[in-house]
Amino acid sequence: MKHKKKWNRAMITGICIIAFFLAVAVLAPLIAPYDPNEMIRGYLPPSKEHILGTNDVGQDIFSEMIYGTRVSLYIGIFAACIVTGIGTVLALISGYFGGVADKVITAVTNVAMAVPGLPLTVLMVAYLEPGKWSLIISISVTAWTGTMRILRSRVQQLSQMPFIKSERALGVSPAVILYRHILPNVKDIILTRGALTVSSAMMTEAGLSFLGLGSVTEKSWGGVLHYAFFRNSILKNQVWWYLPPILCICVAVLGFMLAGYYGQRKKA
Amino acid sequence: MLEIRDLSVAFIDGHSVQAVEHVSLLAEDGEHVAIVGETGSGKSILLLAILGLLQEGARVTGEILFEGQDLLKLSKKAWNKVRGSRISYVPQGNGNGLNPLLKIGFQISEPMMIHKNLPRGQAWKKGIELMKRFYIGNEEQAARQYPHTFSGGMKQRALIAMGIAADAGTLLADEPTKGLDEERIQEVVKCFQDLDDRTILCVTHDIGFAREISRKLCVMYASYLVEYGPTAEVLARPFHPYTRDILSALPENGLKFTAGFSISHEDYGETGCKYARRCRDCFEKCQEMPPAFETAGRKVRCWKYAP
Repeated sequence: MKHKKKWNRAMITGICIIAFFLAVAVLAPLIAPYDPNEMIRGYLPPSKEHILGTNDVGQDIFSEMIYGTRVSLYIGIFAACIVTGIGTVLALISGYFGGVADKVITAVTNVAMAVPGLPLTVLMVAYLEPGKWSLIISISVTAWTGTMRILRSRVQQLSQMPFIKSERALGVSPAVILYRHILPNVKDIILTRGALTVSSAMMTEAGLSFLGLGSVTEKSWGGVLHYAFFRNSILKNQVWWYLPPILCICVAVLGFMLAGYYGQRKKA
Repeated sequence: MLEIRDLSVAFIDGHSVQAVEHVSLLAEDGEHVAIVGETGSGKSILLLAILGLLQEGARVTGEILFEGQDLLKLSKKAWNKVRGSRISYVPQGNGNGLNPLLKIGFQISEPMMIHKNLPRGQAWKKGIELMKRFYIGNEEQAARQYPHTFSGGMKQRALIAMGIAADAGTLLADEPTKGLDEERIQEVVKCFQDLDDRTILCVTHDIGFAREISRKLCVMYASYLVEYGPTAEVLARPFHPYTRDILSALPENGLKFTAGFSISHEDYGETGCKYARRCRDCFEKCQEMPPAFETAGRKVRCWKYAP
């Protein structure tokens, strides 16, 4: 009975979308018809040779989109890994040990929550060396608070469970208890929060790239949108230029949201 | 040998609450001691205090001498080494004593991996042997199952196996029969009787169970140890009015409720004997807390037995 509900349709849809984009990202060189940096002829409308036309400097937009998947997913996934990693470690420490450690970590979390996240991210991106990793770090810097809070309360609950008490009574060290007994019990939260964080990180990345704060050397969906917007493609009605990145961002974010949100629902 | 001398536990959390007061008892090697008492009498706290697992804000005074060493003076790390390998704990099987996400076999073999540095495969095999010893049945397969597939009695026996996995000589059991029916209780009794080479301190509500597994009996009431002596004698001829009252309320003794109303918070704050308000034999002297008097090989906290 329980196992039937484990995989609901929304979650499968989400996972399929994620799998699709992952495949595109991995196979980019095979799928893309052109090198996205290769300059051909500017402002070509969609045709057989260029499915989505070309941009202002004559790069194939379809190939840009395919290679953009790599950057967008890379940043989204690594930012989520960092965010979830920091959140999980802090939550385990503060939830399990309590006391001074808990107070310090909770205080830091509250401060981080109070800091306006987006302006700080913009500021950091502006000052750090441009590149993927500075984007990832800037996105992660305040984003871990939510994960940490949710996990902490769960870890606190679990620490009071009889089986954790009996593990302690059997002389199992705290590190082993945390790793082997508490972590598996919170892995559903970690996974779903992770998926949701990927989607929010991708949104932030797209926003930053759109503002021109993204990685200059590599193309991401937000970056494509940035050039489309600043070359007036919307006014010129060049739908093939500005719409694809928007759709890609929407669908990819939706995929991670579905996987994360419905993954969470099953146990709630 | 486990000797507890004058142990008191207080929780200082806003206002202070005395959970255990001036408890002294002795469990010699291989001796099974049962602690009975109603909920809130401090018996579980006593066990946790011996294990050093009380929550923060608990103040423990007195001495817990384990093989000549005062456990209360140990560092956290040293205590962690004692736990599991020399003193072990058996929680209630009916609750969440086992991690729901790990296989039973792994949970039983884990203490061996930690305290004896056995590799996983070897520990697993020994775990299965232990399960056989405690009659879990179909062990090879059972070891690969998760706790929710086990019945309460099976879980309890698995927990006992887990408790002695690392060869601890002393076991502390916290209500091992809670929520089990009579036949399962008999299985637990058999497990405990088989462990005649180990020292066992067992907290229980079940006087019948205590009678079958223990040589000595401690009766606790409102944080005090009110009577302490050989099980058979205490049950045959209770000295303390509280022991007498609970025994007369047993079905085999005719379900006679001889005590007054039930335990109330005021009982804890009084300076006199905690049982005075419910006691039929209460007299003037009972306005003062009696010390533990020794009579006929027993310790009784009642002025009736003052020399």
